[in-house]
Amino acid sequence: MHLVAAAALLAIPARADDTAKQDPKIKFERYTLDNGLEVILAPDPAVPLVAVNLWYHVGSGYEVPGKSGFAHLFEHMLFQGSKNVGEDKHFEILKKIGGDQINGTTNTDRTNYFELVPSNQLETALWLESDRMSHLLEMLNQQSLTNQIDVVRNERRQSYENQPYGKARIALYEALYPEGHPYKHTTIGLADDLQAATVDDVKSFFKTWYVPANATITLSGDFDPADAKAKIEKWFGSFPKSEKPKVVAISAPPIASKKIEMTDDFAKLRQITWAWHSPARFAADDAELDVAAEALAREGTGRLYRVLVHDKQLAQVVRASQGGMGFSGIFTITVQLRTGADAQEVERIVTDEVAKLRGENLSDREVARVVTEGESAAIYQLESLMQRAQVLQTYNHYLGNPDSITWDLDRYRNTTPDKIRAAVNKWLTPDHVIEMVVSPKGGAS
Amino acid sequence: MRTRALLLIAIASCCPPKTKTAPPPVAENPMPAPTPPPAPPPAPEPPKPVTQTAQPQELAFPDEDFRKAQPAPGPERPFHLPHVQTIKLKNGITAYLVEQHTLPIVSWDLTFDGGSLADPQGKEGLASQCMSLVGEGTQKLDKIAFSEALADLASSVSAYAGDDLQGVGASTLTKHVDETFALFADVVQTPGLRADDFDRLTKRRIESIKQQKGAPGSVAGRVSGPILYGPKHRLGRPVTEATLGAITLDDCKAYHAKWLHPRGARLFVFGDMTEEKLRGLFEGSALAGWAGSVPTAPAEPAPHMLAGRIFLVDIPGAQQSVVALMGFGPPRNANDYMQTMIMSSVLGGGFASRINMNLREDKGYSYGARAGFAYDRKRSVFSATAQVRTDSTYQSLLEIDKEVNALAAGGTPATDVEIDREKQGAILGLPAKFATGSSALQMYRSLVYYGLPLDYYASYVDKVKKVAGKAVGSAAKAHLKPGEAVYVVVGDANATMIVRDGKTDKPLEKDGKPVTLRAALTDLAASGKLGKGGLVVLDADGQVTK
Repeated sequence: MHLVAAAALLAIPARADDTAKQDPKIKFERYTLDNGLEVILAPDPAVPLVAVNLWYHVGSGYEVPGKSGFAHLFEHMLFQGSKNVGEDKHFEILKKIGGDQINGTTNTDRTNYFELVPSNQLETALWLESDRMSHLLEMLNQQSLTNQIDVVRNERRQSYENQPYGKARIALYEALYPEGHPYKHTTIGLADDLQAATVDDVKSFFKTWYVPANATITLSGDFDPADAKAKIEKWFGSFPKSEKPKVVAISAPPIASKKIEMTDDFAKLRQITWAWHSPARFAADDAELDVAAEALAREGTGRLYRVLVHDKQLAQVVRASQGGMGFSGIFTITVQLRTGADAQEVERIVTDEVAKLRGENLSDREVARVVTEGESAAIYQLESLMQRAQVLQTYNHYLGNPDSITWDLDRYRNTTPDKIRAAVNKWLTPDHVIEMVVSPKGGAS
Repeated sequence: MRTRALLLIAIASCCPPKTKTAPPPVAENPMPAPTPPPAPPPAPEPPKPVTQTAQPQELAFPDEDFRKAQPAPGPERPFHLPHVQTIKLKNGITAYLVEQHTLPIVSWDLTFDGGSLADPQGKEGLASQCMSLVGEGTQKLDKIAFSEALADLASSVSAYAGDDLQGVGASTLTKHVDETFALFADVVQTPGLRADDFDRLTKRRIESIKQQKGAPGSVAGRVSGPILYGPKHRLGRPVTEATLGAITLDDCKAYHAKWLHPRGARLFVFGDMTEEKLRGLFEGSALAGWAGSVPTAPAEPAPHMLAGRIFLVDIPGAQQSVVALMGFGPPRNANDYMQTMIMSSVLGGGFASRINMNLREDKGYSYGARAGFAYDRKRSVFSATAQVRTDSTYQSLLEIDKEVNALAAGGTPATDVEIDREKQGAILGLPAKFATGSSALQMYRSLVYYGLPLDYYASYVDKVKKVAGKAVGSAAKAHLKPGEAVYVVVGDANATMIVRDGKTDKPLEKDGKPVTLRAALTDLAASGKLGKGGLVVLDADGQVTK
């Protein structure tokens, strides 16, 4: 491959009758090393930077009972040091070469590690990533694990326990899934499970999930593909052949409707959340429920926004989302009530609006808006090299094809008000909904 | 769905576990055995959870010699700072344009001097409230119709006010630029300013303030202004239910009429746009009738810190506390900016910085700690801060103080390794700050805000290279000044504390009894270790309670 102009690498056709042909495309190539490591290369020479983005195809949704929070704790351990890099050196080394956007994140489905580095420093990023893929365990010790358990417990406090409505988020997942289900505890995990994690647990998790065949590395930015291939071969090519671990799909058993009430030390406004099980990400009905969520709660135009926030002013905030994960999803509607608002009236309005979605079609304009929004978002997300890498990784992980922008948008372009109504009828039923009411401690003021 | 649920229960209860039949009791014991209560029906065994079955793979990874050291960098690839054009528009707006034509997107932000600092006493919140109202709709389109028009285009138009700047911004796909501009132009010139929107926004904001007072993180943000600036300065007077209640719709009408004018306004644009197209929009018919000058903002009074040294806000039940050391620092255009930046990066500029390595990686008290200078047009505010586990609040405050003092007094000056890391990072990290059109525009926008020249970054690398270790030490001494700082703690005052003893923590005790946060801070203030001024307890509005 040779270098071509930036505009061609991010091809955006000017105008065409066929809307799909106007979709942005990221030029890339994908190949697999002998040991199973997958590589995606998306060159663009516009700025002398490369985004290095490595996904391990394991997340908190793969955890086994008693080990909640493990995938994320493990993500922390990957920053603690590997044999050839040394302890606690990752950030220091990257900072010194001008690295940026250095982090890692964990969700139910995958754990990713990334950094943006100057083009001529690509090899240092490959050195860091390859060393923690191969020589992490030699550096692993109890002291560093104990420290990171403390840090993650602090993260849990900062993100959940010390936040208004934070404990409710944890409780909602607990209500939606049975004992032993990997989604029962949020990605941060149970404090007790974290505390009980041992060095042997970490080793076993690493050997199971962090094998080359369970990882995909994406480079996005200014590099010569032939040169990058040679460098990737140098740093990862001699790793032993591994098998891609088999993943058991775990379905979500249906729940019976239930109302849960709890108090919150930090909340000052009452909040009600309705949650249903819903389709997995990119599965049938995922796009339809996404349109339904937008039609319900988008600021300014959403149906619930209009009645609750704008007209009757019963609510401070209304949100709705279709959150698809690897095995299944959660559809939520959340309303933060104004002080003094009648909770029963809010409940009635939300129930009525959802019933209306089951009974009547959305307007064409409501559906068209979500299509337009998606087409626009597909373009905006290409501005940053790191986000481009994330887009390729996301489609590759869930769909097996990094080149899926048009496929994704077509789901919205090809849906109809009838299909959306059918999806709402199938999933957002009155018999299988968790309603969670969070009240300020001492009662709603 | 319902049938599936019933089926699942049926399966679960169809096969109860086979309980072993107990053997008949042997009468060895003369005492009559108590009659056992009737055995409860065996509980249905919960279905065994389905779990992952993948097993560890034993892999032997090679360890070639080349892995032992960090690879050498390749030849440097040329980096050219993105071009920014300055365009004087006929109506008196100065535009700054960063062109980027690879993506069909355009964003702009038209900014005006003024903002919250000009809020009159008793009407704190005026600027932000009125600018929010400006963004609600136009005389032609009410809130809902306006939102729908934007949603149909997937465009956004919004208005905002900061402390010393305010503006109306928009972003759109290139193909909708004309329609989006028309909506933008109406918002700027003829916003709706409707009574019902005004009432709704005011009530919403009052509710937001209630919520802000609920959790340590937001309370810390709310009280730092009052502590640092004192009641004679606008930033020392919080927005409250009362001040919002004093603002009227007529105030907002007058506000819009006073501040939003073209002459003296600054426009920041990036994306798929040219000078010609920009002139076509902003000098065209949509803004033809728009005239006048942005007024000069009133002079800002000097800040006066509240009397006291340690400030405590009690949040019962808090699982973490916010701890901070805060004080005023130099303005952005100070001659020693570069060495100040390197110095503060060593202290708290990132993961590898001293306070993060101490509080997170060594002690495990925090998820992350940071320190640095936040600049505005006149000065900066220095803060070294972390959210920490409640029982480590007291010790964390001591650790932060220790780290700041170690640099300020020169006891542990920045090492060559630290200085080199931060200098290299600043030099080699420059391209990443200009990586996208929007981030490049943001960089230039900051220069305009601080009154620095647009070619500032052309000499940036040289300036950073010249920073000497000695100068970093001088900057620490000149600008950290812990003796003039305040210490802010927001957390559960009645929680008991630990103290560091060598490598471990132990309970903080006095006369054999555990010590609460409030008592620990009272003693600390009385000891004078952090300077004079004593402990002051504040409420969530930053007002002294005793």
